[in-house]
Amino acid sequence: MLWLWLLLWLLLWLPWCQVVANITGRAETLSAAFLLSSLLFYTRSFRAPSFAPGCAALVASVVAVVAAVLCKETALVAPALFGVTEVALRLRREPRGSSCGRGVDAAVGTGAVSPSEGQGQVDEQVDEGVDEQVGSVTSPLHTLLRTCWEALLCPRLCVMLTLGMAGLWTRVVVLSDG
Amino acid sequence: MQRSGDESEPLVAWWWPWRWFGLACLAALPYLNAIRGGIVYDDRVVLNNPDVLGTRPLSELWSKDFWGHDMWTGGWTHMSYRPITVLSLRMDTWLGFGLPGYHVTNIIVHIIVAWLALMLCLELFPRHSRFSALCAACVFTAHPLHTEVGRSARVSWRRWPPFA
Repeated sequence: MLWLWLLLWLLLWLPWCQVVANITGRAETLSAAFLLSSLLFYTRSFRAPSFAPGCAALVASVVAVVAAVLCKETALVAPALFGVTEVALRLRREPRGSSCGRGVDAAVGTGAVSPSEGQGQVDEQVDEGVDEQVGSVTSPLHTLLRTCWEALLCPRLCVMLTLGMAGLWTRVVVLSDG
Repeated sequence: MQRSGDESEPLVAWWWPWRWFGLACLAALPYLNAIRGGIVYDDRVVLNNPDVLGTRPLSELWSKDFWGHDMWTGGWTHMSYRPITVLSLRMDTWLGFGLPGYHVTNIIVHIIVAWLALMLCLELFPRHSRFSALCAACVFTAHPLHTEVGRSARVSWRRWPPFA
């Protein structure tokens, strides 16, 4: 999964087109720094134990994306990177194709539940999820497609995609008309 | 966050505490000879930008493009709105280290990017080994695509400072 994610990252990483060696390459490196920061904040918002810290991390992520776009406009590719990251995070969290266990992850993260207890709870919840799908065999492709669909419906990703569309509209319509 | 392979990875164990320093070296070493580099391609235009030179008020920076032309008055513009980048170049001008100062700042930002890449790998894949995360960050750090835009990969390789 790591390598799949890296491959997608390589394909989508447009700010790579320039430079450390040239002075004008500052645009790319600064943009990359802000974009990576926004991805870090995004993952933090995913793992946040409650609503408020999650929102704070998401706001920080949005601010970092805006800064990245103000460094170089190619950072508008960010929503696609967020989509890939969201899918990777969900696949990581759901090793057995279940959509449950998020609350447990949060509890373990805050130390409220020990990792072993948390894993036990996850297993119980996964078992319940499996029981609901008695008789159905989930293929990796099916899991991937379902995870992608769930990621698309995720409010966090919707916010980022909306932001990306607004950025594209600003770039194409407002700036071009100027 | 639980990470596997702490004890089972002898290749990683001894230098893991030095990871930030090692990654910074990997990011900086290929580009050290760029510090003596001159002005090439777009550098000439950008470094003549009054916003970069500091000969224009800071408030006007936000309405100008990367080359210093007005974005919204209807005249010719480069259509690249990058005020934060211009601001950072202006700070370099203000610091007064000349051309090497611009290059050193670029390398410092590249080091920060490499560190962020490692942090992101560790954040996204905590169940993978630290070695995998560090390998990913190293590949990202030393990739020749960072050197300069190229018409082909071969050109890119030739322009990588160790081969330049």
